[in-house]
Amino acid sequence: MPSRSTTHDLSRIAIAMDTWTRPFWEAADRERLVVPRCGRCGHYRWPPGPFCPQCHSQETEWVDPGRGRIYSFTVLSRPPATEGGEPELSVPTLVRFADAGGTLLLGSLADAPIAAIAIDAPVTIGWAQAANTRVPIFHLA
Amino acid sequence: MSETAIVGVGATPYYFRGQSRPQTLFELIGKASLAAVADAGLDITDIDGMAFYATGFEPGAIVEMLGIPELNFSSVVSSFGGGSAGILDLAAMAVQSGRAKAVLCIGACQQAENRYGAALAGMAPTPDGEWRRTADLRGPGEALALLARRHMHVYGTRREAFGEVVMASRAYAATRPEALRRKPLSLDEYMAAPMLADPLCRLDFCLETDGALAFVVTSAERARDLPQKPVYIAASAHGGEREWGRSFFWLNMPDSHFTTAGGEHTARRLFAQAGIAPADIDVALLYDHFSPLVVMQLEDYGFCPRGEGGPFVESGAIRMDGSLPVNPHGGHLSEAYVIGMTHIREAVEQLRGTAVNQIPDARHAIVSGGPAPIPMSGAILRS
Repeated sequence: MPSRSTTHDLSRIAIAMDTWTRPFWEAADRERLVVPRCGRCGHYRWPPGPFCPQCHSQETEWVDPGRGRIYSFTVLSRPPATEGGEPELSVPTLVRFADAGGTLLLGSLADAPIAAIAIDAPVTIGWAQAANTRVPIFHLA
Repeated sequence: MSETAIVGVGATPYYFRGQSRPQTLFELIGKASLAAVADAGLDITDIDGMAFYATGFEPGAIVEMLGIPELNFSSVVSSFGGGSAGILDLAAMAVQSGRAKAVLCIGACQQAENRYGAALAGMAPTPDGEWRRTADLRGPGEALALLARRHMHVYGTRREAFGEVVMASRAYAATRPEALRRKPLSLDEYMAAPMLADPLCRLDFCLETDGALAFVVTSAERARDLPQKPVYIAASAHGGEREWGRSFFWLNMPDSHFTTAGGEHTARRLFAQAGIAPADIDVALLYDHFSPLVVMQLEDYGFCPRGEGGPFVESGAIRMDGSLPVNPHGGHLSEAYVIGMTHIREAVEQLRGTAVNQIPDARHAIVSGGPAPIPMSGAILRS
């Protein structure tokens, strides 16, 4: 088994967007991570949607969520990318942003030593290229 | 409210994925439906209502196929496993309201082309689900692995607990002729199985199978004139609470719900409706698509305190001679997977007193729908 995680091939994934998720991806394409916060009451909502579930305002501010830590993760065994190669370990990870109302962002934990991955470990944000936008990935800080 | 009862059960054999061919899905549904009606001592023309779990079972096609003269009620519980036991709620509502006199409840799956295990990858991309794709989560088990890991982190739950759920299901399946995985399993064998979605190994994932089941629900009054011992629907519910929401499709549950199976709301409603407590349940049929979710449901339904599901199962509590036998038919892990329907069948067999692994004097059984996006569902049945 490999000792480090591998991010799956994102290059052929065309991200579907709508009115309410597009600002996230447009910022991501400029390598900026932002999350939606209610413009009236300040409640963070996720995923992005048309209403604040607390006050029903549609005003939305897109803000930097600050530093995140691993909330949970799994380690998936994926078939080798090339015939006869080693299987690859893909690590879907939920990162919690305490300063953004506890928003939990899902993404791939890239190139991390498997033995070092742990709940509460701090992460930094990196970027990978999907078919139509850049997308956030995580690195162990 | 007037009482309702399950008076007939029908099932096809269970098949490993794809092996039900060349029968069609509607053929399987037809066989289960005719068997259920015969078991109830009724004629198919007595059926005037239908309740389905999940989409794809067009009632129009079924009434034509089976020659049912008219339907006065037809409804479907949506969702992805969570609503399966909700068919009993729909059927009870239809009978209690007088909309229909005899409701046929149907659940079936045929996974030749459409594997539920990769269900997330098979869905058309939607804007609110794209983070799953960037994270590489392709199936429900992969997503629910994050809940299992968090449960281990917060409560110290061990893989031995998940293994015990699987081993218990195998021990039950050993004597169940319908079961597809009947070879006993040791802890060493469990621990040696390949990891698929750490902390879930291959054996923590349920079987991928084909089959159809059908149930006939009518009024308690009418049930008393029919040949089978009535199994009364003491409580039924479908719905759920905001914090659980889209659950593993969304993975944004607050701390209070992330390490649950989302069933607390259903549990509260069921026990209030039935007027009994968890200690009154003799046998639990808990939706076991993935073994850790059985541990969490035991907590949700109040069979043990929150966080103690691991030690509870490791104590042997869910075995035949334990305080709460769970899935004595072998469940989805070892008997067959037909989206929760096999659990309803086992509840009925236990309460009729005809189960293969009969719990002595079983009087109350609980059946849960799968931990999945809302609607969640469940039922308490009694003899």
